[in-house]
Amino acid sequence: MIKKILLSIIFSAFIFTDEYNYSLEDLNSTSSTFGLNVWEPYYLDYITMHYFGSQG
Amino acid sequence: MSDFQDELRNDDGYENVVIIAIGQTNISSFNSNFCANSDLPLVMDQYPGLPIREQFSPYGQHKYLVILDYDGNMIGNVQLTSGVSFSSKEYVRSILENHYNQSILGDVNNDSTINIQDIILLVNLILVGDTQSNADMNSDGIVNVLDIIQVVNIILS
Repeated sequence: MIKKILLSIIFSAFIFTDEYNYSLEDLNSTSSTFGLNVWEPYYLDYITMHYFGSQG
Repeated sequence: MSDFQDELRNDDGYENVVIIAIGQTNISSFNSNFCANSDLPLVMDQYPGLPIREQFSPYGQHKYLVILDYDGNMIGNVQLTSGVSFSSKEYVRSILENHYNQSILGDVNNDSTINIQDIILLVNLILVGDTQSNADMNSDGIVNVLDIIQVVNIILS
């Protein structure tokens, strides 16, 4: 019984987690982080805002 | 968008916020257009799968701005259909007001007090070769034993 409860808690934690992440090279040559991987690891201590453009 | 980030950092004091632009690899014009007018970081979502947009769905759409906290949890989103309007700016500021941590130098675990737990975390940072802005006590760009000594001095004083 306890095992079932523990499993359901662990399972629900995975379902309801809302964490996002990616780590890609900054391609903007005028950015201060050009060539570094963002947002992880460079901006880990930051509140990050992610703007989705329609262009490539 | 670049101007808005400057406003948040310089006028409002939210130094540790960043706006990252997410383009798509299948269209070539974005990079040059964007980079000519902005100093924001720019990453490319890989076409055709577009895994970042998939991850942020349903908010990974045209002109959406998604706000995440320090742990990568979504704390807000807004679609900027008419640019960064006054109401959009106020919305973002209200989110930051509730979630932004004003970090204290030496408070490595951000619990608003400096104690032995911060030293333990500081030692761990050094052992794994990691860095954190509020752990770099002497602002020399590296976290090492000199920073531990300064935190110890704060605790003892």
